[in-house]
Amino acid sequence: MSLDDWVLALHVLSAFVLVAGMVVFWVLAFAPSDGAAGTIAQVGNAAAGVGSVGTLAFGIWLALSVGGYDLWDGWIVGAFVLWAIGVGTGMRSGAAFARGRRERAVALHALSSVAVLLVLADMIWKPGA
Amino acid sequence: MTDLALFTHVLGAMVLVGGLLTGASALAFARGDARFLRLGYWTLLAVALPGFLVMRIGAEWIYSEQGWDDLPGEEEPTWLGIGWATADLGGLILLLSLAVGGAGVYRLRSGKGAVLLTVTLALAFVLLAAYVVTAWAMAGKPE
Repeated sequence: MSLDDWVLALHVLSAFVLVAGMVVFWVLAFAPSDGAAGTIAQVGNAAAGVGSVGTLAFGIWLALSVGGYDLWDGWIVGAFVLWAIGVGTGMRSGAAFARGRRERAVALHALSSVAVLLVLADMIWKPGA
Repeated sequence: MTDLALFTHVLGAMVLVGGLLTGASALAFARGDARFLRLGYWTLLAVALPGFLVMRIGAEWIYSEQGWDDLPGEEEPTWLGIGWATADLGGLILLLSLAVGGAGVYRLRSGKGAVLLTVTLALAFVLLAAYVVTAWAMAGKPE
């Protein structure tokens, strides 16, 4: 495996970790808010944090390193925008969840999930590439 | 159509891994709280299992779309072999963990079942580790 293959694998693994963190919060939205919920939320926060930083960092590496792709390609710029929406609304959702504003947290988490789903679709179809 | 098949496969795999992480976390941190032990089990059943099915359907779809089924078995690349092995063996382990966990959840009514759910937790961790390796292999495609 070349270095780029390794970075691609880490990029994809980061995406898995990010989505896993999002699934944690979907389940917590329908769970009791006391007991182990706080510790499970920490797992979700860690996964979402590592996954979001990993997807961005390894994604930028790939855009710069792999021939035929550039940072300003439309589908890559689109992915940055959707990533920022996904992470931004996800962080706001986490803050709302911590304050006990569950309805707002779920609405923001749904928006974040749609954005991440669109990033996944963008990565697979690569429109315009 | 290949892109749609790949999207289905990857999305299912991501939900599967998310369900395993959430279910295992709930089982691991429940500390005997029956609500979270049930949450962990039901997450495996209602999130991880559907994710597995979607991932597996997507895999078959790509396999036929890309013509891998026309290749002789010995010419199949390593990463594809890793994918098949962990998908099929992992599916069996997932079903086993759900059967054991189901018995554990049933026994929670009489204050028992924690040991069975610990077995389910251990199997979920094994699956999680296996699917991380699989995701690496499918993405990096080692020879």
